[in-house]
Amino acid sequence: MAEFPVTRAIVRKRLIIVFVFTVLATLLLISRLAWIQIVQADELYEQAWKQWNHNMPISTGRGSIYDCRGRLIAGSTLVQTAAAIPSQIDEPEEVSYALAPVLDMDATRINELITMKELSSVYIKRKLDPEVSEAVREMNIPGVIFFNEEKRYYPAGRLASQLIGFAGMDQGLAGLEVYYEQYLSGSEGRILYPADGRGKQLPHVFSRFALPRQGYDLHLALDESIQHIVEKELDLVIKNSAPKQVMAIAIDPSTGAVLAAASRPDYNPDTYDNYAPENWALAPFTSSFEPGSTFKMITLAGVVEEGLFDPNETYYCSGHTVVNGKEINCWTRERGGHGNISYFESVGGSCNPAFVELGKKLGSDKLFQYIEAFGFGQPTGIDYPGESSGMIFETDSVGPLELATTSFGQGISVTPVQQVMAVTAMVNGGYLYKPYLVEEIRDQDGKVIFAREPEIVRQVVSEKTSQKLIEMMESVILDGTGHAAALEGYSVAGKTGTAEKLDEDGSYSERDYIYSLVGFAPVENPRLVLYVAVDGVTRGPRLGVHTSAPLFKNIMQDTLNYMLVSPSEVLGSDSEE
Amino acid sequence: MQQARQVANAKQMNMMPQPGKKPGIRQQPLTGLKMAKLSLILITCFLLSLVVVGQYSSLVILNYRLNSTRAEMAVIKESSRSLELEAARLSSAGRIDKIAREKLGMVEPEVGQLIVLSAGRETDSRFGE
Repeated sequence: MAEFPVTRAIVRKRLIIVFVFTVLATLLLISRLAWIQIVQADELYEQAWKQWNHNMPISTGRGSIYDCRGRLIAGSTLVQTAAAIPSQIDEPEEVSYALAPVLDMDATRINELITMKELSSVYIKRKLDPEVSEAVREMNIPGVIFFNEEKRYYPAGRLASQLIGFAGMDQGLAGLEVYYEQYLSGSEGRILYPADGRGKQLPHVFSRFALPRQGYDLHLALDESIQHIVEKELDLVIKNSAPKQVMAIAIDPSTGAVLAAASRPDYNPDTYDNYAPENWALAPFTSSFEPGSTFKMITLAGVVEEGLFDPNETYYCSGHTVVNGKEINCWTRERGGHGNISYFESVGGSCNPAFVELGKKLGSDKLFQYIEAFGFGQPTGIDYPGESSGMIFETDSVGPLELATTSFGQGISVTPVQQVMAVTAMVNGGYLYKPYLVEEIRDQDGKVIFAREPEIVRQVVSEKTSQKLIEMMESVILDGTGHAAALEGYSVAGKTGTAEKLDEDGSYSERDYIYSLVGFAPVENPRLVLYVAVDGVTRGPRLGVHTSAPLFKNIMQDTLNYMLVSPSEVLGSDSEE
Repeated sequence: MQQARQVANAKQMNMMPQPGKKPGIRQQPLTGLKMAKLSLILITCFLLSLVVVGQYSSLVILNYRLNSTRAEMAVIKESSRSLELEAARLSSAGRIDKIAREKLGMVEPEVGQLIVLSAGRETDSRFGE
């Protein structure tokens, strides 16, 4: 048999063929790789990402709320949330029946949740009480996991509950908690962990964290101690007079900052769903009603500023006056009216007919110009949800009767915060400030994100007019209807109001009143402007002198002491005894 | 005849490929220098792989430490927040007021018992004492 010799040429030829095939195969592989890596990369990466990685949300830390002295009013604490990884639960029915009594949930519902295989993880029950989470943890069920979530906590309990509001599972639902939600809530984070084909976490492979951003802290203008004084006195009024509603608001006249604001009935933020939603709102901001005689200060400010007011000019009050054929009574009608009084005295005596006359002098256009300039009929812009704007007459629809009633605070509707801000403007030189609750917003490192500057809306009256108004308001407390609000040692000024409420038939009630008082102290250097109102007294004496005046006096007395405001005058030795 | 057959067989044997040797390709024995080069490359690769593995393992250890420190920090932060909340609860004005009145039997001062003094102001000294 002939042998075929393998020569070098043959070897070379074979090598070239192998080389060509190898190169072609490599090129083919490279092309395929390029197709996968470049053309199909995004789609495949997305699919792979879903297969490898499981993620779980981490709720962010909600910012805290502090008072003006850095005292914590609302904060958060960690509690456990129970969740399930459905793919890791082998016997869902058994697990459901085991968990149901511990979690106080329906076993069927738990079974529904833990068999949602399409989800990588699912909440079973959130924000558990510590003893419940411990009991579930001790059961040591594979596939049931725990992670921390924050729960809102209000260390001062009911204090300022209507102002602060409350937070639900994931967001603020009332008060400042909802108004500043975008700052308080921060941003949610996530845990990404690689898992095998069965969804089980791979051992010794690190999870990745998308860290949550902690919410910002709110620093309020509110002072916890003044708020406590206010609420303590409101509770006393509730105890003694059992009114339908009672409220108070305290303002710093040099900035418009709200130092305290509260109303009753209120609620406990830890169990907010046990209370009627009406109790959640802060009445001084959200409710409006007829102001009564406290509104006379607006008419007075107008006539003084326009030079139409002569304090010594006299007016005869017979107990009523007639406008467009309709009788308008003075509260002194039963005893024959004030008689012959000066306009200066008509302020202290709160004479309705005299103010009807002053309103006529001013005219409807000017009066409503001042009403609007003092901020009535529009929201003040306070940083609180659901502020009411009140209701005033359209200028076109104001006739002599509307002008007359508006002059002494009847027929219109205003909010307590509008009233207190208007009086604040009268006592600080005429400057109407925008009221505010939050002074600063800071991040977790204390860096200031937002700092409030007091905002002057406009100057409504001159400083000269302001001084005259202060004098007249002081006369109300010294010699007039507000004498029961006088403080020993301190000079106080203010204006009382008694607003008649409407009966169901639309007529004014003869039994149902709102007693109010707005004033400030000390007169020589106002440090605090305070508005109080007691609505619908049902027990004990029903006059302002027994309800709103003592409320005003007690709050003012304690607050001035707390603020270390020195008395206006040295007390006599009688006081000491 | 037999001698001629032996010669032919011998020639055939020479032409047949021998086991372990490719036909027609001459094998060159590795010289000492080439062996040294190959050994050096292998040792270098081995050392490099050791460095890589070492780096990776130290990275893993550092990551463990980092995670552990982060966890400790989180615990301390949370503990601090809980303490802050507890301090706020204990020092709240309402709680102190209640304890003062109900447990300690304290009452509010009467008018005149509390006078705020200010520097440089003439005040009846009897009230300051």
